[in-house]
Amino acid sequence: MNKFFTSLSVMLVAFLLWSNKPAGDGYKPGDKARDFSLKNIDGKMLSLATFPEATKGAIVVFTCNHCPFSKMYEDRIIALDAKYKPKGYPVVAINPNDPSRVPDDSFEKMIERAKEKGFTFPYLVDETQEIAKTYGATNTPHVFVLEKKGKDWIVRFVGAIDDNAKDASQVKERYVEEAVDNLLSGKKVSKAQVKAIGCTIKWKQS
Amino acid sequence: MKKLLFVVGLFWSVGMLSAQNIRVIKKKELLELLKPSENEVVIYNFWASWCAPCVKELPIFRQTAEKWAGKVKVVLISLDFAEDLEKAKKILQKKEITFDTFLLDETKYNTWIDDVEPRWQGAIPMTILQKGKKRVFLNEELTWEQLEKELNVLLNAK
Repeated sequence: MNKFFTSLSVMLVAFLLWSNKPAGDGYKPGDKARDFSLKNIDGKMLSLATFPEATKGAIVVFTCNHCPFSKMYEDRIIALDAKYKPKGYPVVAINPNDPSRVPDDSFEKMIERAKEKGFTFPYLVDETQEIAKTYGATNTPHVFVLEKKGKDWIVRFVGAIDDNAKDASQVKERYVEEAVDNLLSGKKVSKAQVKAIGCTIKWKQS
Repeated sequence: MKKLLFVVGLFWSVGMLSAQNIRVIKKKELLELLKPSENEVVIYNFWASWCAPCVKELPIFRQTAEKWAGKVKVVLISLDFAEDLEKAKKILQKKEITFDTFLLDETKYNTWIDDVEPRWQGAIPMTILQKGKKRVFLNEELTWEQLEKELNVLLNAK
């Protein structure tokens, strides 16, 4: 019996250590995501907790202006917002790039691009790059679908929007849509991690 | 005169051919390419013509291939779309890369990225240095000094 409790407490400790593990490698599906407070293109700070449309969750997209793969997905990101904002999963776009390395990704250019394309969602700047690092974003575009559980945000999907960057009409698998649809119908996300080619995030050089 | 022109033309076209040849490959051939070699260090670099940092670092791979000829093999793999082959070719010619390179025509990225390197999320530039079982994974734009340092470690490893 003693043995049983010993192994139980070992398991409990292991579980606590595991659930509190530092996010060095970034988030995996099932991890609790941290909230953030980042500047939007309207000049106001935005966090998940104060984002009124994010009633069930959010589609967090690390993206930017300059990256050709991000550009190929701009219209599709707008479409995701149109489809899922009314269902409680709005898009939140975050630009993590260091504008001193890529002038096209500056705050002013973000405002310009959002206006040109008619972004319907917040486009935030991750100036310290802390959020991209904590989430484990490495490329643009890189999506994290979060489900709201009480006050917590649980990562349910990490990766690519769909399976055809170049041609939206040739897409066979819509990974983000499938993930959010799964969540909306109370199911487990069937494909929770999907990799794709993209531009590296332009980290600040120390 | 006509004959002379023909000969000149022939040499010219041969020169163009040897200038740069990109072989379009599929996943199966990519995995063949990635098989470790015990005798030499192989550098794999994944790049694309649309990726500015990739294009910027291309000359260091040419330099490496020249400096360590016979000891280090450089394998450049373009992730351009197949119809952009000429764009990739032009860049390689401009960067004076004359050895054969590859273009991976597989746009269902999720079906092969993990087979190349599980730590890789898909961002390019991405470079792997490999000798036998030893592998260095570098997911950033490299400088000549960085690449030389990493290479020396592998070259000196027993």
